[in-house]
Parts: sequence; C-alpha cells; structure tokens
Amino acid sequence: MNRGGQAGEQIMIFPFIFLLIIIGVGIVGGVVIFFGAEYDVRQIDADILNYKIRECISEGEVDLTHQPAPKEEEFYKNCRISESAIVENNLIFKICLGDGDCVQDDGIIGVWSNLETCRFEGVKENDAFPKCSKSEVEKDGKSYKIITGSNQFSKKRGVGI
Amino acid sequence: MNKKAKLNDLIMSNVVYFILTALFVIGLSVFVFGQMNGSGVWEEFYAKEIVKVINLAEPGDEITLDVHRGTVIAKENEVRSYSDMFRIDNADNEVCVRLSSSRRTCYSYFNDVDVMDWKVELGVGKNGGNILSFKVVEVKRNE
Repeated sequence: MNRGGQAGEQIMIFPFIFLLIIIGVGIVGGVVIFFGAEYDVRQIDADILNYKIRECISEGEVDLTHQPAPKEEEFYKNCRISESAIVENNLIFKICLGDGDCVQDDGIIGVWSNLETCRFEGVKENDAFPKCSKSEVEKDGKSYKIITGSNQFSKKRGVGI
Repeated sequence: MNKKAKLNDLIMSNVVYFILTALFVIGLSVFVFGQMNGSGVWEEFYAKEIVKVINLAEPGDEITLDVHRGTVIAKENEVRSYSDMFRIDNADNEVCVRLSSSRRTCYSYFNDVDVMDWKVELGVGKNGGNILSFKVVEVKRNE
C-alpha cells in the first residue's frame, strides 16, 4: 500500500473545498446583489405625474393664468394631486409659462429643487438623483412646460407598525 | 492487470469529490431559487404595481389585480391573515404589502383619491387564482 500516495490524494480535498467556497461566495454575492436591488419605478412615477398635470391643464381643469399667481389649493384639488404626498415622498414638479428654459426660469406653480440634475446625462445612471420627465402643452394660445421628477424609494417597516 | 479493481479504485477515490460537488450544486440551487421566490422582491413588486394603478385611476374605478403568487409566498412565510397582506392607508396615501412574518414594504401614491373596500378574494381569478380588488372614490374632505 502506498501510504504516501494515498495521503497526497487525501490532502487534495482541501484545495477542492477551498475552490468550491470561492465559487460559492461569488455566486451567492452576485445573486444577493441582483435580487437585493430595488425595483425602480421612479421614472414611471415621474411620467405618470407629468401625464396627470398635462391632462389637467389641457382639459381646462385648472386656471394657470390667475394673477398674480395660480391658486395652489385649486391646482391640487382640481388636478387631484396630493400636495402632502408630493412633499413627503421626494417628488418634484414645476410648471413654467412660455418657451424659455423651465429649469432656470421662474415657475408659476410647483414643488422643486435642484432641477438641473434632470438635464445632466451623467447622472441618469446614478440612483442618488431623481428620475425626471418633461413635456409641453398648449392651452388657450399659451404654451406651458412641465417638469416632474421622482426620487421616492420604498420603505421597509417592521410588523406592528 | 486487474482492470476491474483499478476502475473500482478510481471511482472510490473520487466518490468524496462527487458527493461534495453534488451537495454544493444542490445547496446553491436551493439558495438561488429561494432568492427568486423571496418575499422582499415580491413585496416591492406588488406595492409599486398597486401604486402605479392607483396613480392612474379615477374616482369610480373598480380594480382587480392578480396577487396569487404573493398570497402563496405569504402563506409559506406564515402570514395568516389575508387582510394583513395588503394594506392601503388613505390618510397617508400609502400601500403596504406584507409577505413575510417580520416586515412589510410600503410605497406612496400621489393621486388624491381614497381607496375603499379592498379585499383579497380567493380562487376567483384567472385559472382559479387569488385577486385583490378595491374601489377608487373621491377623497373625503372636512370642508
């Protein structure tokens, strides 16, 4: 019996187990990262908010020509948008009158900050910045620009809350 | 030369490797399929899909959604009450989905409507699945 040879064969099991561990850790890590990533619907949120505002303006549900400024309470009520939900969940929107740069110009109504991030190509892959949607609508001879954005993430709560 | 004895020796010397490899593959498969059917993934999915539907709804709409997969996962995770799996809070405009015993996932909607009469109905969906149904109504204001 070649005991030296047998011992050599038995020792080889350790590198084999080590290799299995390395492969296993890689696969487990990849799966956890993939399935752990959040299901990102922020772009859809921004698109739907933009659509609601656009429809509200085009169907005449709200008067944005009121001077000196449109009535915010009337806007939220007639367009059926919850102001508290917008403010508390990192949603933004801005409505501008005319053909200018809505990001820089004064808006006539909205809740917004740092809208410049909606223009940067480089931040589109960065999950820290909101996802934005832009559109234009005409009503009664006036042109309105609408920018909306969403940076809402889901909330995990323990049971009992 | 005893070929049969050599073959037996070859098999026996590698049987440990075969067993280890089989255990490794089975263990990883269980883990990967467990993640695919994980409650966290499906809680996110259902919460956000329900919010998407509510955001697009108008008062008067009656909505039904197939939630069979979610209810199966919840039952496997010992969530006993169907009414606790899907919770809609009109005061905070929030949809919460619970498919595990320890946690729920919540997401908010911005449509200024109230959601009423939400319930899970068993076996009435397509292919006998479970559905979530609810009605969208005007929000009640204290004028």
